[in-house]
Amino acid sequence: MQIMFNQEPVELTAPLSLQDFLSQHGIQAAGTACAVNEEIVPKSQWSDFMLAEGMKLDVFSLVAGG
Amino acid sequence: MTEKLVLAGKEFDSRLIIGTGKFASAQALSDAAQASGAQIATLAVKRVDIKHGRDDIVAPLKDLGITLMPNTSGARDAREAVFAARLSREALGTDWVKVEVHPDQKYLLPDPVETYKACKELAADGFKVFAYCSADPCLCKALEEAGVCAVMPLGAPIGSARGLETLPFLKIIIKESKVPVVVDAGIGAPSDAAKAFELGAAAVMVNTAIAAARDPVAMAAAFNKACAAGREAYEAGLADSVESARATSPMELFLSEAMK
Repeated sequence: MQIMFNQEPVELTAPLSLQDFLSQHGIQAAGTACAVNEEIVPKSQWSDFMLAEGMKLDVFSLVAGG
Repeated sequence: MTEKLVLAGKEFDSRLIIGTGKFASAQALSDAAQASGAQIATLAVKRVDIKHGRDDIVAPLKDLGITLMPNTSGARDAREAVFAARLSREALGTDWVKVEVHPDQKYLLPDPVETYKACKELAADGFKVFAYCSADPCLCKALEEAGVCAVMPLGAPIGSARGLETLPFLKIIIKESKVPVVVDAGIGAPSDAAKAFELGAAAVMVNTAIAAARDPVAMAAAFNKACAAGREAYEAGLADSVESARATSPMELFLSEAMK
């Protein structure tokens, strides 16, 4: 199963929740926001949200800026 | 002791808002932030970079007790700005947002129409909106009516360090605005910041002038003092400026009398 993660294709071997995907990539919940197909998925739903073929996942955090 | 700054119902002792871009490291930013005395700092929301990673700047700023003001930089239209604001609210749990919409990458000038649309939508959605905008009195009035907490007219293009090139318009905006006016962008020297305060600005926002200084910590301290001095001067009430001279010493003609 393939998804797009921050505009690059990623192959997933088993069904995975959004929370598990983020944990596997070492991404902390604090200071992070996720959108799937350009819709924000609230943190409270990360554990139950299953990633599926073709989904476009974008993960954002706060960085330096003026 | 000068009056406190009140933004979106929150009180601040410092009237200097700092941007966090262009610092050499998170430590350099943290040191400069401390020296600046700033209690508000802006940040940007971007896609995480797994391969290269980035310094965490949120934790050190929070440790300093600094209020975070995420911006929507990179947004090219209202839709993208609204999306960025909602992402930062989700990420940080804050409803504060500095709306920036600049489709043109060369001059980074804010798009007035898209900025207005984004601000109106976000204010209606309960955000505390701070609108980065051109120094246009009519636009600032419209933004005020759309429900922004403050307008942030530019002094000169972002990062240009050219100072208050829009000064005549800033004067009108400050005179007419019912919401705080934060002079943003283009401030190059502490004297520019002091000047903005002498005109009656509620706050100023500075990034490049500090981050790109040879010694950012010392420059941050200089801005801290200049902002305080400018505000003190404003509250003290500047003397009127006039065309002709007004003597400061008694004008009796003792010299010419004595020479007779």
